[in-house]
Amino acid sequence: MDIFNSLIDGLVLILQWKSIIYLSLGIVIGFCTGILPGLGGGTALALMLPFVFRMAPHEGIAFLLGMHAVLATTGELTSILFGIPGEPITIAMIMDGFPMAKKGEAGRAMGAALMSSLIGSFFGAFILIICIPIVRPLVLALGTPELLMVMVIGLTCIASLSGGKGKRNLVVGFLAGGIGFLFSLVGEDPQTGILRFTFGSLYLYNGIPLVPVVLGFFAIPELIDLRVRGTSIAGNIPIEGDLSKGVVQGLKDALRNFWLVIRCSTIGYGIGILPGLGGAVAQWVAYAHAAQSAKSAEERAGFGKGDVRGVIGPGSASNSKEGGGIIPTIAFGIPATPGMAVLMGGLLLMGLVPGPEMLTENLHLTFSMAWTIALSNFICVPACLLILNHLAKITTVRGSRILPILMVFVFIGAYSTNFKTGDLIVLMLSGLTGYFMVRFGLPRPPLFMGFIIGNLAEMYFGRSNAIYGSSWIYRPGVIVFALIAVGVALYPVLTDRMRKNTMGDRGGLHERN
Amino acid sequence: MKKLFARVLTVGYLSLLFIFCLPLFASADGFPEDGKIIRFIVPNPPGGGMDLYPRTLAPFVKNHLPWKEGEVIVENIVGAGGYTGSREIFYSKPDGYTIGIVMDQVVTLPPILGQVAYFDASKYTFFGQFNNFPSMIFTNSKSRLKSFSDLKHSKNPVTYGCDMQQIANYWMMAEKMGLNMKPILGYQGSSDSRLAVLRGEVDISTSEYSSFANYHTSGELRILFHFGKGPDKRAPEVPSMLDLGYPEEIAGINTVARTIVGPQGIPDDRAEILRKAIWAALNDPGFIAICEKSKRLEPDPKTAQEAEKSTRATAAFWLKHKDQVKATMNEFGYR
Amino acid sequence: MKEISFSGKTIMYAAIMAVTVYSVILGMRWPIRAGLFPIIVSSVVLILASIELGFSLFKKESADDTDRIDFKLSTDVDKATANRKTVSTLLWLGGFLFGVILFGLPAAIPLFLFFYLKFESKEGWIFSFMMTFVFWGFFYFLFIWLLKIQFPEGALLGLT
Repeated sequence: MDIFNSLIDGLVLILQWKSIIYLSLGIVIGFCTGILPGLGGGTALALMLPFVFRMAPHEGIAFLLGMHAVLATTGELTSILFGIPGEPITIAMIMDGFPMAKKGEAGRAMGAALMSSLIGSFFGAFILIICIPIVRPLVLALGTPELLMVMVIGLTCIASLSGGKGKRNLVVGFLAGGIGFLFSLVGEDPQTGILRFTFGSLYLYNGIPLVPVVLGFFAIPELIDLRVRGTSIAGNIPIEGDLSKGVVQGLKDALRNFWLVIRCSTIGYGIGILPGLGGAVAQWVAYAHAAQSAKSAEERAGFGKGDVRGVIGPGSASNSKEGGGIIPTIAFGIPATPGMAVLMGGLLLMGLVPGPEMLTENLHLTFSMAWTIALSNFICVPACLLILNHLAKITTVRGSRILPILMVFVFIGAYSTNFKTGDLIVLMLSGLTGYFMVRFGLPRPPLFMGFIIGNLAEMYFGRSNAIYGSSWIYRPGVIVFALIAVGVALYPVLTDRMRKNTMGDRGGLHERN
Repeated sequence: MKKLFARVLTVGYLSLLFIFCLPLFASADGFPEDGKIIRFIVPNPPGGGMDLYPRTLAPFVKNHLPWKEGEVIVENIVGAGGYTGSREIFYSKPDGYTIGIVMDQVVTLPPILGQVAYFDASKYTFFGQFNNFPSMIFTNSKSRLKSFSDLKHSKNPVTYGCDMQQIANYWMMAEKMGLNMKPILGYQGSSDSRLAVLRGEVDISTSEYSSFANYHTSGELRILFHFGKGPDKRAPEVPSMLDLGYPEEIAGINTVARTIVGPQGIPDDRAEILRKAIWAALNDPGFIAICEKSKRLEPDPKTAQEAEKSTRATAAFWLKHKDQVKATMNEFGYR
Repeated sequence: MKEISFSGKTIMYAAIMAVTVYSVILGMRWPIRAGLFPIIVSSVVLILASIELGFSLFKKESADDTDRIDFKLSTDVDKATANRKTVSTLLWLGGFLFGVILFGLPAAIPLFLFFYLKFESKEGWIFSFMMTFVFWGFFYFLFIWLLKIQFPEGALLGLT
């Protein structure tokens, strides 16, 4: 009953006219930030911090969280339209969204992305609310060994991210994943303080920075290809006045795959509540899951070439992750993304200290966060739908005109977090590497997966051993997660078997269009 | 005709560009010049304590500087555990338009150990300190360690969750205080190791009081002692190193000191103007009001002289014990 | 056409193998706690890369073998043009990087945009100029005027 009251209190706080104004303001800023590849969420939020000094907590929450919550949604649009990640948490969206844009289906892809984002954020907020009583003990029960096993599950996803049929894909996938893993080990070793692969450079002390790597690997090959084709992004495919039809189609696609949306949202939320994991993992696990959910090997091969499910999966996960990501931030003071870190700073300035009281005395404020996440997407998505047609037209602009602008944005994006020349050099080098990988058939998603979880896996492994010796293997949580990992690894094989066994009745299994 | 027009446009445009660049060459008369920007470099990412203090203070510094208009802009230069930004401050042009915040532990210890390129932190131009609080050693309330004496007489090694930057705390406890310790490295900052203590994964961790105050008042965490010299006013019952009978020489070194500095060699007149403005800002009722509202920001301003003195003392201490700390680090494999 | 991709692939795998061998050697020098993961991961990558190298040298590729979940380069442009355009794009990007180092980002952006539009995209003077001006205005408004970001000065300006 108490929880119910707080829930209503939280809603009332957000629905005050001042909160609504701040929320709308936050949404507008978040919209611009998300859509510009040059501005990262953390940077933009940090610049807004001085404005929250005089705000009441619920107003500040509406302003900052409203801004943060729409970042993932609008960043997806950039990823789809230009093949350039709008935010580091919307890269997986490129894999299928950009090929769709190239086929002239930008409207459909964006519609699907927006709808799945909307459902994902609602789902995330909903689960955040109903899980409040159990979530703190749950997070406390997850020790270092359990987190290590989550990393192992992540690594097994590489199998599904490699794609296609044939065993060689697995070889190539794990090869790429291993290279990403090696990249992630650059910098100071957290266990011994030894500087690995830094070659005496201070720049590499904390490892290879994420943003320039993301932009290099996932934007530069696309830009080069755009130049080579010499056409607009949508090629020479004529786009008539039926873009809005594409959008509606996309919205329907998301609803048609409702269970996929829910499953991916669950994945996003689950990864979101893990402290210290960072924001970029959820989208890839969800993407891998979406690819796995393909009924046949032929269907799975369509991923990466413009399957709408490849848009829906990451879209819902990266938004429901917001709901989950609130928990480690406010309950334990461990933000998942740079954006969340600034959000936490804003809360501190307004007198809200992360800790158990956020789930007890200040529960109504936590709930108002859940409401803000849902409400901001509820406002943002229809607003996006209004301008979607105009955005989609960008894909028909001549490539030679749009290309230099995109190049400049990529540079600003890589440069504007730290203003280090090294960032630009990393951008160019990873761009070159990314290009050669694409050219010679080494898939980039496994590499990126290895890159974001490699050093975490090593760190958790070192810590587990230092604390428990080798006995951590027998912890019940570890065994449960290990079984899940085996399940994830075997899932494609098992579904293949099942499919072969039921070859006769096709109708039953292939109800999807 | 069209071509000529276009050329004129180009020339005009290039000259505009040149005019835009001109202010960069202009020389300064008074300080601070109207309309200029003072960079306040923060070596840590936005959102954390090191970032929130300057971000809160910056507008007040701006108000207290003798200029009609201008801006104090906070800039995060992140990398190498805060060392990159600290170095950037040190080597900036000493014209008074670049200042910054540094953590004493970060600028005094790693350069001496040779982890990073050496520079002498005691040569910064000092402007003051937000605060200089001792690190506190805390444990889970359910832990077997009820007090310092449990810690001291523990038969099993006490596990200490920390990161590489906190290794100085480990060294102090293990080598100078004679405690039976085992460091568990690889936590990502103090919030992460605090979570490990809450989980019961490690026995103790260290942090400045304000970052875990609410867990202390709620009774989830218990403080065993702190590295300071006298009682801390926020938790007066907690014994300091001196109270526990350790020599004064080693007390007050392991602190969280947020020091406002500028590059080496800012002319005295300019440094004095900045010092005055920063001191006035630190004591501005508006700044104090924001900090009080926040509950987390607890400024305890120190003057430039005090800051200089304490930073130099810390630097001198680590220089003296350089080889011992290095030997400890070698135990983990660091070379 | 087949030869180029063939030799390129071989070189790439050989390069990967060289890097992993080097990192194994580096890893051996570190204490076991720091060296464990680099050595294990590098060895795995080394083995996988040599398998792939063998495949690419001795086995004919079927369509299934090259089907990855990833973006694919366009194939409808002839190879020579594609290579030329790729190299020129990389040169433009490199030039931009050089410009940022020399002049700083705020000055490098209009220079790059203008030259690219005029000489690479072969747009008219007026279009190039207007486009550059509009974009630079946007950049100046957002980053310098509104957000007051202090971009580092270029190496040339720093000399004074």
